[in-house]
Amino acid sequence: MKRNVGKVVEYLPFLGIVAVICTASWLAGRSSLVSRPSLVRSPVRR
Amino acid sequence: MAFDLDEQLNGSRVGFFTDTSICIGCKACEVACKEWNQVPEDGLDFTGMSYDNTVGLSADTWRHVAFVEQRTPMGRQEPGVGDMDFRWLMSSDVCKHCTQAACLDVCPTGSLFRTEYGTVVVQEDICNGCGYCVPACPFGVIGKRETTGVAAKCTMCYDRLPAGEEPACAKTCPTDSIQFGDLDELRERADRRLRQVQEAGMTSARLYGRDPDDGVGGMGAFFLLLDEPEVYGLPPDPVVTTRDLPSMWRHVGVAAAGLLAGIAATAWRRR
Amino acid sequence: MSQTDVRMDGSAETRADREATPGSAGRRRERLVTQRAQTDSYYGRPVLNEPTWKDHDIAAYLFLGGLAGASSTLAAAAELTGRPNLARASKVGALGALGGSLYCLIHDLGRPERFLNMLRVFKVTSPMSVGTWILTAYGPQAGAAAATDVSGLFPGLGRAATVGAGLAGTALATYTAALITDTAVPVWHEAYREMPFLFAGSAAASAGGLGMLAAPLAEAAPARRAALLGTAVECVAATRMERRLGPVGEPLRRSRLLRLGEALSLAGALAGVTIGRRSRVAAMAAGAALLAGSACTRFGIFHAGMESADDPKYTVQPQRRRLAKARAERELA
Ligand code: SF4
Ligand code: SF4
Repeated sequence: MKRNVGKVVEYLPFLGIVAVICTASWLAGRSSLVSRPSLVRSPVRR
Repeated sequence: MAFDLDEQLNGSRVGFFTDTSICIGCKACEVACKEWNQVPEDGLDFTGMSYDNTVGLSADTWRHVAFVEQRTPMGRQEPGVGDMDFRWLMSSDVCKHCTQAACLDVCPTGSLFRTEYGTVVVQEDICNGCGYCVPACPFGVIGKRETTGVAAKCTMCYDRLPAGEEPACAKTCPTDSIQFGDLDELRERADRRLRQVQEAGMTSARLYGRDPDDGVGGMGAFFLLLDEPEVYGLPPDPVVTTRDLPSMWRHVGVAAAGLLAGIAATAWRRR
Repeated sequence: MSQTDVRMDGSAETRADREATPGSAGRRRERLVTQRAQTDSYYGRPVLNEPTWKDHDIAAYLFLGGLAGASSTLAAAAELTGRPNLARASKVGALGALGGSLYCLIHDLGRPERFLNMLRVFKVTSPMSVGTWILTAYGPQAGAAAATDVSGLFPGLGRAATVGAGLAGTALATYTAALITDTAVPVWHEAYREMPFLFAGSAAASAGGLGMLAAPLAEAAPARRAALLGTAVECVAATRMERRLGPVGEPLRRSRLLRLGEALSLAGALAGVTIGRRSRVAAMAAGAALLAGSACTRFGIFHAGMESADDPKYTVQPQRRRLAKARAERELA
């Protein structure tokens, strides 16, 4: 049991990194829609 | 290969010739190596593998004596165990100090280097413990030491050679199964010895690693074996992994160009 | 210095024991020779030493490096075709993945504080050395690309960095194939022809997945197509690899992680180009499936290699076949 917990813990940094990447990227993908207009005008309408 | 190590070193390349036909399995080499090089303890287990409790080469085992028990005659020798045919093969394994050494090729820090004697040595103070050399070695020789975090393997007693001393294992070997010396001379001696052993009825005797045209360009430590290499835990036809590296880089190049073209194509269309 | 000179009698001559031959102590009594079973290993012990790499570091790095590299390429393509949101999301994702890559790489070292020792040398014979320099070239550009985009400062510099990172990214996403195939591990080494394509495909699929997850639907078309194309390339490369490797490919064919990875990637890619075009939620789910699929594929490849290093038959048998073939060819000639 303890060994298994130890094993799962080893993967936590990786899972954390992936979660951070997804969140940051998701926020970045929304930022210009929410607040600041993009520097390059998008020809594609939302 | 354009680069000829033997020529570069101008005949000063040294090596081991391990003649397993006269090994008595005393493990004095294992002990002498540990003592001289201060190699730490590597587990005290009873494996049940004949008299071998050392198991194999690793960061903390630089000489390893293999014990193989077979119900086969040893040439024309009387085994003296009743009606049974029996032979005991013993062989002291060590780093091969390959002419084309994969460990050295892949080391990203330059910690592994080729010495003036033609041997391959790890510099403990440079190695960052990336562990690349471990899966690169086709013989399973080098390892990463848990306690220090850096790679370790046989140095052919790099610190004894300048003093004109032979490596500790060769020095201690009571039967001269481990012979140290000038590699060219050892190769000649091995050829003579092979003929002698074969004439004595051991037709399965062969030299392993003597041939400079093999997959690792010949080994600085080579062997006279009495059976197939794999029986002793040695790869039958080892090839330095970097031999395919030029082709690997070409494939990587094509894949990278493909990735660029593919992603460019996906963005081409507006919708 | 060629022979032992320690003697009980102090003489320095080569002694005769060295010349002893089997049988010199007495001739064998005639008896029937028992047929010997062919052994092809030393007590079943592996020939190779087990790689010290940990999957949660190195397999994770294979995934994160691919994600970072392909995301940068996707970001450059998106920016140049006027899709700023996809570009920004991909740049930020790439920077995050780069940070994760560095963490994993350094964490796996036995002496992390000596990380910089890799900048002492440049060796083409060492993919890890080449990779270090690729990271050194790619990292600052990826960082600058993300920072300028998010802050809105120095747009010109940002554009140059974006393109630079996009180009270097393709190298980062594919060199890792050379990194693992340039070893004696049978499955990895033998697969060196397909591995770069598998990794490129898997990287494109994960970058596409991240783009679908993060970018608005109207801009995510390149991400959807990259995911589909990447998944297709990945699956074809994997199938070819498994077939071509023959007996050595057994650990690959047995790998449940690889099957799971393929299933997730295919499901994500197909969902992405269908319902993922209309529904934001579906696109996010498809993107997450693609990311998970790519990660499973990398872990699967990693473990199949470890398995092949751990069993002597994968090392010994192909080599024996090679020797037999060479012998047959010699005899024919
Ligand atoms: S046997 Fe292995 S560790 Fe020794 S020189 Fe050859 S590749 Fe390096
Ligand atoms: S572990 Fe040390 S010796 Fe081995 S390749 Fe890495 S830096 Fe070189």
